[in-house]
Amino acid sequence: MHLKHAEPVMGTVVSIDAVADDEGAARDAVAAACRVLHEADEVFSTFRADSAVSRWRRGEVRLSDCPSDVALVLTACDRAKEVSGGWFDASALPGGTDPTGLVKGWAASRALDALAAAGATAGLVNAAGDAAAAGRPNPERPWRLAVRDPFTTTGLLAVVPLEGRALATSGTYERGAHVLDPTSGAAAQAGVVSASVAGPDLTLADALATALVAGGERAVPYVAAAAGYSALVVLADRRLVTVGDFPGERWPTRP
Amino acid sequence: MRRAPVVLAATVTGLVLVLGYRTPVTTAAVGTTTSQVEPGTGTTASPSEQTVAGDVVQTRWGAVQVQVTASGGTITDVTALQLPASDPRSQQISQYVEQPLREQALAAQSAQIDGISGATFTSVAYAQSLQSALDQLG
Repeated sequence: MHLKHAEPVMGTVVSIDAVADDEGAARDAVAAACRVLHEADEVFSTFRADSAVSRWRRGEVRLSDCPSDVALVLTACDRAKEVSGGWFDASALPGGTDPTGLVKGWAASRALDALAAAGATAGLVNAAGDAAAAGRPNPERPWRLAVRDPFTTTGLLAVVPLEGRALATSGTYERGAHVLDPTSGAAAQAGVVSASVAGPDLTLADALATALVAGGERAVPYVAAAAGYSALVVLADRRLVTVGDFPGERWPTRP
Repeated sequence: MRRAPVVLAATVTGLVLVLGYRTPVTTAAVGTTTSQVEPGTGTTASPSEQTVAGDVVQTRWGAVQVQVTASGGTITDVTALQLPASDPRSQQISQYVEQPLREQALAAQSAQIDGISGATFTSVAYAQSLQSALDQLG
């Protein structure tokens, strides 16, 4: 039984695939994953004034008063800052420390764990481009995601099997420059339209994708040095830059 | 005709987003059955034609709602009833997104891909509304 579900949460829609022995088990697994996503939104959303992170950012509560996940995510932010050479820096943003840049990937990763814990034998959680998977949709093939070409809307740049790896994409193309340059606090102007990062941990992949959009070529050496991670970067002049051994098939045609 | 290969690629790609979302429970029950009708073979006059509206899906930028016309198990048309248009930027995005999504839906017949990385808020919501319409069609 393969159940597909799309859940509106975290200001976007998260698609969830659950493979389980029967429909009831698949539905239970999807429900468990959705609970994790909504909990993450309630705790971390900076769009919600009453979230734990919003209250902590305003100084109303101490970190120790927040759910333990907040400290976990902030630790992940510290690691991401280190690995990215500072190009992902949750503490350099106006308004105080903001982990939003990797929360979506972190939450999707946790939702995948919840799918498995609830009995799914395989699953895929795709939080608007930040995706983690376990198992296979069927014995013949792995889960596969297409990396969209930001310049053509329907074109693909690559098809990436998600076997043993996650995939995250950050970009400036739908909503303009929503990634800030940690060195200036202004909108990133590194000439990157989209950056997709593949690697074992979706949380770090998400942060590194953000780092590439923020830092462009200056962030590339750090991603190249991150063991197990690779990237496909689309520049504003439409050039493609591959960092490391980016997996999967390249889509051969581009205008 | 320089762009022809791209168009073809786009069509194949198009299978992806929507097919990924197509009739979850039913598809699983049917297994690998493919009731494929080639686009443009003229099946639109079928008496079994149905038009249904999908759910209104809220995004941070506004509501998305899709209407689907299907005939004999094949999607024959997809129309966006609502797309985000609350500000000029949203209108621009919606215009940019709608036609490719429509083409994707119309092209959707078989998929070996489970989703898109780099999908936009709008396109994911579009797919979700489309899914709910397909669910109604059974």
